[in-house]
Parts: sequence; C-alpha cells; structure tokens
Amino acid sequence: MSVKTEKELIALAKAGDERSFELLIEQCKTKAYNIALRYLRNEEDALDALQESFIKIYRHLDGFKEGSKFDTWVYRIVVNTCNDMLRKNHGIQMESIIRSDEEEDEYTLELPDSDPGPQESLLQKEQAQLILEALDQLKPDQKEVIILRDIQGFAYEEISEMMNCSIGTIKSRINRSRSRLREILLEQNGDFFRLNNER
Amino acid sequence: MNDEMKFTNHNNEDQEILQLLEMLSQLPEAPVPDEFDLRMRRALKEENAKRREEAAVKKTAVKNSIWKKWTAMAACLTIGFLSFQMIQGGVSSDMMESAVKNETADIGESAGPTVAMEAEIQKIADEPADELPLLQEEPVLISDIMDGTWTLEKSAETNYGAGMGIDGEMLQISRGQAASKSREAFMADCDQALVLLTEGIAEGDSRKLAEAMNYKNTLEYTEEEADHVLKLYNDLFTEEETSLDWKNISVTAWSRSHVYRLTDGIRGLMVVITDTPDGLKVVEPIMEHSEWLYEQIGGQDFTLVDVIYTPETEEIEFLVELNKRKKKETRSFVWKETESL
Repeated sequence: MSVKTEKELIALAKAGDERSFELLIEQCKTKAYNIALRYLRNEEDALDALQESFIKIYRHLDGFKEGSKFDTWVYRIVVNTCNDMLRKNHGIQMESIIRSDEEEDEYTLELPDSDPGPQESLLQKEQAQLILEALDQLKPDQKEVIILRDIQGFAYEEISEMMNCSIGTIKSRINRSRSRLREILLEQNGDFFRLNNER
Repeated sequence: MNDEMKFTNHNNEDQEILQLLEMLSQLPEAPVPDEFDLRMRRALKEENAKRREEAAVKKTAVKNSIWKKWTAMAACLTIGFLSFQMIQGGVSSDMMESAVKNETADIGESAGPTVAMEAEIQKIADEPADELPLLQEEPVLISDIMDGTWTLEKSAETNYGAGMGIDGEMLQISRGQAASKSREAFMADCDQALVLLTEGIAEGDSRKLAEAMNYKNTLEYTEEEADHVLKLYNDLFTEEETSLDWKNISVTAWSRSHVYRLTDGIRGLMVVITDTPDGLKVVEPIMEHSEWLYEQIGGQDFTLVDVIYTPETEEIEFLVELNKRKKKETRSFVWKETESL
C-alpha cells in the first residue's frame, strides 16, 4: 500500500474519507492530548476536548490553507477548544484542585518511571504534582505559554501562530510567566529549589 | 555591597528559573488512552451521517421552494387567464354592453363598467348551469396558456401539477351534473369537508377524517384507511398541538373545483375539492397514495419526513425514515403516473 502524503490525506478527508482523517491526526494526536491534559488536568475532559477539536477540524478542513502547517493548525484548535471549555465550565479547574488525595495519586500514575529508586520516584512525582498545581494558579494566558513552550517544546514562531500574537509578545509573556511560576512554587514551599538541588 | 547582593539574588533567580525549565521539560508525556480511537471513529461516523442528513434537508428545501414558486406562478397565471377569458369570450360584447347599460342604470354612473361587469359575471355564475356560456365550464390550463392549445385532459394534468390527484372522471362533469345544488351550497360543502379534515388531523380522530374523505360522496373510505392517512399527517405536522388553517387559492372557471392550501404555519398541503356527479371529491396526495405507500414500506415501522412533488416529471416523492432496530434509515418512494393504485 502506498504511503499517502499529508496533502493527499487532507484531500481524501475533505471528501469524507474517515480513514484518511484518522491517519492524518495520528501524528499529532499524542501531543494534542497532552496539551489538553495540561490545560484541563483531567483525563476525561482532555479526551472530550480532543474529540471536539478533531471533529471541528474534520468539519472545517475546507478552511485549511494549503500553505500552512497542518499540525500547528490542529494544536491551535485544541488550545482554543480547551479555552472554550474552561470558560464554559469553571468547575473543571476547581474540580482538579479539590480532588481527593486518592485521586491525585491516580493522576500521578500517568507519569512514567525513568527507573530511579522508589524514594526518588516518589519525590519526582511529588515535584511534578507541585509544578502542575502551581501552573493552575497562573493566569490562563500565562499557563498557555508555559504549556506550549516549556512543556510541549514548541518554537516561538509556532506559538505566535497558534496564539495569533507577535513573537515579541510571546517572548515577554513567557518571561513573566516563568517568574510568576517560580514565585508561586516558592510561596508554596520556600525550599522547593534548594531541596531539588540537593537531590 | 547592595549591588553585590542584588547581583547574587538575580543570579539565584536565573538559576532557579533554569531549574524550573528543566523540571517542566521533564514532565512526562502521557499516552492517549486506547479507547480514544474507537470513540473518535464513532464520532466521525456520526459526523458523516449528520452531513448526509443536512445535505438531504438542503436538497429538499431547494426542491420545495422551486415547487412553491411554480405553484404560485401557476395560480397567478390561472387567475389572469381566467379574467382575460371572461372578458374576451365568456362575457360577449353585447352582454357587456347590456350589462353596463343595465347595471349603471341600477347602481349609478359612478360605479362604471368594471362594477357592472362584475355584477354580470356574478349573475352568470348564479344562473342555472345549462344556460352558462360553454367556455365557462372548461377548466383553465397553465401549460396551454403557454402554448395556446389546451384540452380537458391537459386540464386535469395541470390541476395535478398543483399538487393533487384528480381522476379522469372528474373531467366529464357537465353542466347540471354537479352534486351541490348551487355555488353557495358547494362552497358550504367545501367548508364543511375542510372543517372535518382539519379537526380530524388536529384531534387525531380517524373517524372524523374518514367522514371528511367520504363527505357527500359515494366513496367508502374505511376507518383503517383513514388511520393510515392520519398517521402520515401526524408525521408531517410534527407540532404537538397542530392548528391547521386553510385558504382558497384557486377556483376553476365553472366554480366546481376549488384548490385549498392547508397549513399549520410551517408546512402546507394542497387539497382539491371537486363537485362531481358522484358527490364531493376531496383529493390530496397523501390521502390518495397512502395505501400505495404502506404497500411499498411493507409493514416496517416508519416516519413520513416529507412529500415532494416534481411538476416536470409529475412524480410524487415520499421521504420516509425507517425506524430500524439500531439505526434510522432514510428511504425515498416515488409515485409515478404509471403506478397502479
């Protein structure tokens, strides 16, 4: 079976071919899911956002400009859908904050082990948990740039395209967001960086 | 000293941010749960089904608007042609003159020839049918208005084109053969039949509906047949409390066949009521083809979605949604002139 190019897959998907669309989103599915997961901090909501985004993309494939990068367009729609969901349902964020300890443990189970010892592994999970909680306390636009740049590793150009902002704005927003995140982590635990350094 | 402290603090802050960036980049990537693929596939299928449905609805709306446009145009032409015929032939110049003379004498000069002519037309309509000028008992044909050659057979086709079925027998009506004694009596009968019809539909009363179908005629619609017709009407007028109204939109030249538009404000049906030698005949496509449609569907559970008439091909398309166990399926059944009823 010949491997179809992105352009061919888009053309087929436009004509209503579901299989081609599935192949098209396969490449960006995991990254899109992780963006949604970091935004919404709930697996079920992240899956809902992902499905809604993909259906929006399928519906509006005709509006995709040929010169643009398909995956950047996809992530942009995922980000917008997550923002919409957060706006519509403030409860999502609250829910994640007031989750029980038991659920939090379940959540951190998603983090894969990079084979450290059991004690170090526990510390890593705790650290990740603290960072994610601190992330939730940022303003939405600050959280957005940290997720896209520092967690997902997108280039400034890609982020500026996704958020419809100039690169300069993105850079300054990222700097402010990082400083704010550091402050929040220190407010939570004054020794956060020192303890981490000692390990 | 202060500068040195500031520098050290700044240096610490940078170090901490670098540390933070490292921690953020190490946050592990979660895999997409396996169930998502299946969920997505289902959502895509639903989306495609929705697209198809929307396309079908759009197509139907376009067809309906074309039909409405043609019907309205046909009605206007009919009325125009009728008036023209009456002035040119039906009311001869002698009659016109005497009418003008007599009527202006009666109602005063200010009324003018138009009022006089109308009065004359009214007088003719009220006269016994045997004395009517021949031209007046012939129906008006839209197609023939176009090509100038109209026949009685074509007349029936044209009426059918307005959305109703009319049998050939109706064309044999001659003066004095009508069931209702006078034009007023016929109009009163039409009203009564329409009251029964609309009440039957609104109240879901098949007995009343059968009564409307059998009103003052020799036809024998059973309650079971009326039940079938009622189900189709109920499918079409989906509002919980259907309130139907009717409007007379056309009258044939001999005034023995009236076309009504029955509407709930959203959807409409064309009903033709004809005064035939066998009595009053109430004709409407759903009523006329209900048994044929039930035969085609063959006992499956269904909902009638729309009825589309195509004047060019004289076909009536019944859009039906078959309620199958797991999913609904939209089917189209087309009735053609050649179909045996």
